[in-house]
Amino acid sequence: MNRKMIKTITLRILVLVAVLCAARPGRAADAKNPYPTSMAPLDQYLMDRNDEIALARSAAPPSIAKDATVMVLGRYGYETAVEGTNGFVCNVDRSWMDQFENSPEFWNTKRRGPVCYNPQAARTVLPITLIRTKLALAGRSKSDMNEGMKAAIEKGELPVLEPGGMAYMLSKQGFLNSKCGNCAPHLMFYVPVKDAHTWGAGALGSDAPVLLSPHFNGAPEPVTEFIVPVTEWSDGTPANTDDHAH
Amino acid sequence: MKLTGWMKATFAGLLSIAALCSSAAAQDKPNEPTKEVHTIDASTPRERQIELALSAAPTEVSGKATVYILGAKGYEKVREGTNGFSCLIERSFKETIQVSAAPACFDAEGSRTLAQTILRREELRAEGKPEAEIKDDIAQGFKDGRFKVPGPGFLYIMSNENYFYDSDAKQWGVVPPHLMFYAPYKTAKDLGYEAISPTMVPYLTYPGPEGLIVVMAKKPAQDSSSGDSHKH
Repeated sequence: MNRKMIKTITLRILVLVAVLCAARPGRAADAKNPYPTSMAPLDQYLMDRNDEIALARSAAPPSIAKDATVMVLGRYGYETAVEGTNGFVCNVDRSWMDQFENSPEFWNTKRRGPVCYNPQAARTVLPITLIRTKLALAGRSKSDMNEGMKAAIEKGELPVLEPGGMAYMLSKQGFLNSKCGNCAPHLMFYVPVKDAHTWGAGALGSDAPVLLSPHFNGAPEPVTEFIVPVTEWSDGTPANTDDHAH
Repeated sequence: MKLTGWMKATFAGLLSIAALCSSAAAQDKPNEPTKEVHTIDASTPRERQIELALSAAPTEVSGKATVYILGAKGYEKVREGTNGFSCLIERSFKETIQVSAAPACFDAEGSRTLAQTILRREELRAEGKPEAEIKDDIAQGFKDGRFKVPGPGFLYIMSNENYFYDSDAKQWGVVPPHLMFYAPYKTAKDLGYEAISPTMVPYLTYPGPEGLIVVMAKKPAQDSSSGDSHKH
């Protein structure tokens, strides 16, 4: 075996190891990050259909959620499980709705974010969820998803925001992240992207009256999401005033 | 006896909200200033008007905003801002009686749309026009394109000196700090309710070109001043 052959074999082994490592789903990058750094097997993100419907509905007061369309995550994306009558759409967000940068929980399989969009937001903001989910379920990496979303925006696949678009996130049963669990009940309002600090919005965890959601905001979605904490969960029980939204 | 334009509904809605927040209002009652102090007009000292207008939003917002105060011919711009926001004290009337004085800061979208109707109202009041005529002028302005409905955005009404006059009880009260998101032509159904009611969260005022979604805030924009808000 000459040196050239040894060099070739060694190189091929290294390439094979690199490919296998990259293809392994849900691998952890290091001990500091306990969450998967790529998408885990899809089953870990899926829920029992009825449980998911109930969880999605818990995002808004029952008077709203009972007549809302409910979308659940299937193997090929979100699908309509219940056809509603009031224009609202409820679903359970998964972890890939986090911001693309500085988001260690981007592939956290435990993430369940129940949300109910009003008709204006259902038409203009929910498409972000649907596109991101389509990209995630196609096996795209986080950076590829980011590029895919940029391409979708350039193609005009995101509708222009409508005034009055808002969403309820009042579920006590959700799990938004490992820092605050179900966090605090809140409403979300949407405006076109701009320097969010112009509005004086505070960071999550601060006690500012309007909080800035870390996702979207031009990276890349051209939408700024403001969070306004409220005092009651969707079941009418009071929230702990020390809780933080997200 | 009617208020004009969206102020009527806003005022009515906020009265309801104020009633819901009666505990907070009750805490303010012992220190409430007299009616005369709440009545804002061109004779109100310039510095006092500016102070009130800026109190509507967090300092990092109002500190860079354009500021208007009331003068002899309506609003006068006393400072050109750099962030697109406009802060002023918005008034409403029941016939000739002033029934609210609400410090407000509109974002850039509101500054070029809804705030323009407020400037126009005060211009007409300064000319001595009756409230009914002012209401008609604003409505006509939306029809003929002088005024534009806003796109997405919001305004701050988060001063702890946001006053309304209850003409039935003949006393002034304080409306809790809140945010208003632009929602032109939206209805209660867009928020998931059959009809507008005081218990709505969020609350919708004046479903029309000046429609607004109201969300109460936990505390005033400039909380450090809340302890001596009634210092005058």
